[in-house]
Order: sequence, then C-alpha cells, then structure tokens
Amino acid sequence: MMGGLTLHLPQFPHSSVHIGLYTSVSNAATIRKELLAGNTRYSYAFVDPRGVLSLAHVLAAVYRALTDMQAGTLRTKTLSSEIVFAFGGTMNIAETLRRFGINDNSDSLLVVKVDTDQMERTNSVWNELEGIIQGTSIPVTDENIEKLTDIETIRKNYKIQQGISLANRSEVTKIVTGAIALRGYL
Amino acid sequence: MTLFRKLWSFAYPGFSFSHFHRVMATRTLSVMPLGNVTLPSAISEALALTLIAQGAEAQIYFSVEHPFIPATYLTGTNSQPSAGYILKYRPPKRYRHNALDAQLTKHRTLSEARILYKLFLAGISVPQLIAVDPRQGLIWMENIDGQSLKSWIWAQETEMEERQVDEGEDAQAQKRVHIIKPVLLAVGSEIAKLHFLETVHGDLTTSNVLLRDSSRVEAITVTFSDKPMVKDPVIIDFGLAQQSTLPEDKAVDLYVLERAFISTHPIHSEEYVEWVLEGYVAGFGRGKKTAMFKVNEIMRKLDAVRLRGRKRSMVG
Repeated sequence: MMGGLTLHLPQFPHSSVHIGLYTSVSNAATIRKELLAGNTRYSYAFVDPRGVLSLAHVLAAVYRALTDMQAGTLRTKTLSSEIVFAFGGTMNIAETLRRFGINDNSDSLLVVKVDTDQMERTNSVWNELEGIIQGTSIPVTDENIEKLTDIETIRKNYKIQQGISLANRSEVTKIVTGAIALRGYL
Repeated sequence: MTLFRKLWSFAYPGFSFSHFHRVMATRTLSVMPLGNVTLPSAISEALALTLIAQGAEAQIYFSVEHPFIPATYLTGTNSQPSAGYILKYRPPKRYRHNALDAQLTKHRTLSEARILYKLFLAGISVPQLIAVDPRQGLIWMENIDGQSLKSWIWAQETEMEERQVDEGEDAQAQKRVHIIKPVLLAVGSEIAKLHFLETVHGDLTTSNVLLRDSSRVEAITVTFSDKPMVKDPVIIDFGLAQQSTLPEDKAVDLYVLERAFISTHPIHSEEYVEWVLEGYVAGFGRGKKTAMFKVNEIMRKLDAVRLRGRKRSMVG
C-alpha cells in the first residue's frame, strides 16, 4: 500500500490520523478549485510541504486542531481546514491557508485526514486520494519531508528572527511547536 | 515544629522526616492529591500519568509518552533518548465563583506558557513548551532529567562529611570550591540572563533550579584535580513569573533565593550565595555598559531588601 502513514496520537487514541506525501503533482490547480467549490470528496487537509519541517511539526498542527475541536473552539468550517489553519502562527485564516495550504503551483503535497470515529477505513482514504491527486506517493518519513522543506519559508511564516539559526531541525521543530501551541494567545 | 513532628510520628509511626525530604527533593514520590481533584478524564484515560508533585496552585504529572508524537516516531526525530514529559494541571477551585475561576486559570496558564516560550526563544535553559490548553489549565512541557539544585548540594555535602575523617576541614573547603562553586556560578549567570530580559521568576528557590545530567557531575567528584565539569542548570516553574523592568523586583528574586539557601543549606549558605551573585554579576548583559549600570542598581536594591524583607514597606 503506497507510502501513506496511519497513526494514533497518544492523547487521542480513538482518532486515526492518515498522512500522505506526494511529489510530481500536476493537478494542484484543479484540487484547489474543487476545494474552494466545497466538493465534499476533497475533505482533506492539503498542505504545501515547502512550509513543513518534520513529522513532529505536522502532528503538532493536528493536535492543536483536535484539542480545539474538543474544546468547541474551531475557527474554520471543518477539521481538515482547521488542520491547515493550525499550522499558521497567526489568527488570519485566509492568510494561513494561502501560506501553508495548497497553491495553484504546488508540485508536491502533504495530505492529512483525521477520522475521529473508530471506523477502520484506511484503504478507502488512499484509494480516494489516488483518484484525487495526479502525482507520485512517497513514504512519509522525516527524510522525505526534509527534502521538500524550504527553510526560508519556515522563517517567514513563523516570523523567526534572523539571529536564530535554523540549522538544527529538531531545535526549529521545538520553536514551531511552541508557536502552534500559542497561536492566538500571544 | 517539634510538636508538629510528634503529632506526625504519632499518626505515621516509622515515618522519617529526613527521608521524606530527600525523596521529595528527588521528585520521585507521588503525593496523594488533596481531595478529589483529578485530570480531565479524556487525558487520564488515554495516557499513563504519575503525580509527582502537588502545590497550592497546580499538580505536576509525569508521562513517558509525548501527548501527540507516538513513541515509534519520537526516536526518529530526536537523537537523544527522551526523558519523558511533564503535564502541569491547574485544577478548578470549587470555592471560587465558576466564571472567575475559569478566567484566573486561563490567565495564569497562558501567562506561564508565554513566558516559558519567550525564554526558550531567547536561549535561556528552561523546559520546552509542547502544548497548552488554557481552558482546562494544562501545560505540556519536556521533562528535565536531573536533580534539583537543593538535593544535589545535599548529596555533595553528605559525601564530603562522610570523608571528613581522612580529609579534614581545609580539603573540604577546597572541594566545595572545585565542585559546588562552578555549578553555582552557572546558576547565577542563568538567572542574570533571565533578568536581563526583564523577566522575574517570582519563586526562585533551590528546588526550582534543576541540574540537567548532560555533562556528568560524577566526573567532578571523582577527578578532583582535573578541570571540573559544570552541570547545566535549568530554571523551572514560571507560575509566578512576570515581566518587570524594576531593579527592585529582580532584587527580591535574588533575596528569595538567598533565603532558600539559608534555610536549606545553613552551614555554607553565605559562601553559596556569594558564588551565585558572582555568577550573576558576571553574566548580566556580558559586560555591556548599560548592563553594568543596571546590575549595580540591582545589587544596591538587594542590600535594601535584605534590611527590610521581601515586602515593601507600607509605612509613609
């Protein structure tokens, strides 16, 4: 089964988190158009991997969206869009979706879907995505995510000062984890 | 105090006070929660949490698991083995009006999380902030693997006392200079960095400074003549921390620490405080001119605070 990853966050053992990573994507513009049209088949979080550091970074955003859902404080319409929004360091929804979400020129994609019910539907997620995305599925690993990161995008999106080095990935992941946790509270 | 001890040993025969203190100091004893204040069930059902400390304001839980990174992926992202995670929980206080209680909990939780993150960004050694839930009063942070400054000094002193017979007073004093002094200089310099950012801790004690085990201290005790290795001090518990530009507030921070030294390590406290302050002055702003002016001002205030105590005079 392709390179997709399904896991469970320790604090949310009943929710399945599906994460897929795609390169050579040729139909980003179409996907974006369907998303804006509100096509329910496209109920996934489509993230541009240029703004993603590591798997821990993705999980921090998923966790923030899940805790906000539990608290009843979702800012966007669905859990999927909330996950993209949760990546952002600001409360501006449109800007965050533009910065972190899929763009017309995205040639790679990171896709997240959370099933909050206990229904086991791992297969259909990957099948559905295969029908949506024209691209190559690659394994979701830190190495693969790292290859697609644009570190200056990270600096810009999280407004990290020039004095702070971005050389050490696990240190930068710590910085963005804090930014995600405190978004809207700073 | 003696009456209290008598009553206590009456209620719990075989209970040793010194043992109790040592165990508390190493942060391993789980204290029974007072009353039935417990974590939100969604969290306690999902994760195995151990209560390791309880204060008036919050409970501290230890978790082996990260709240959102499964163990199998954790090893992939961090090269060092994880020391576990800490969940700080401010339970609702039933005696407060619900609306007020919710507001206070949210405010205090956020204030602590913000300061923790700000200090982390500034490169001060504090636990990493992992997640916050202000409505439920929860803060997730990394656990620091190491002893508190208090129990570490105790351990060092006990070891020196045991060797007193064959070494004598002078050798002991020299040992303190070689082993304890470098650590206290580092502690002072860390506090200076904190104060230089106009942040005051509010509850600076020898229990709120942990010594991270990254550079092994065993090396210090063993190799007496070699260059001693300094442990990495980490400041914890920012529950009462504030932003403040006043030299007064920083002096009070130092005074509270001085009192903590006097009450927990009475014999050599003078020496210890002197070393911490030496590290503080040297580390404050690292020789910038304005910093020199500020640190002199703080030291002057410290003398004033010593004379009158922590609270400002209400007379006049």
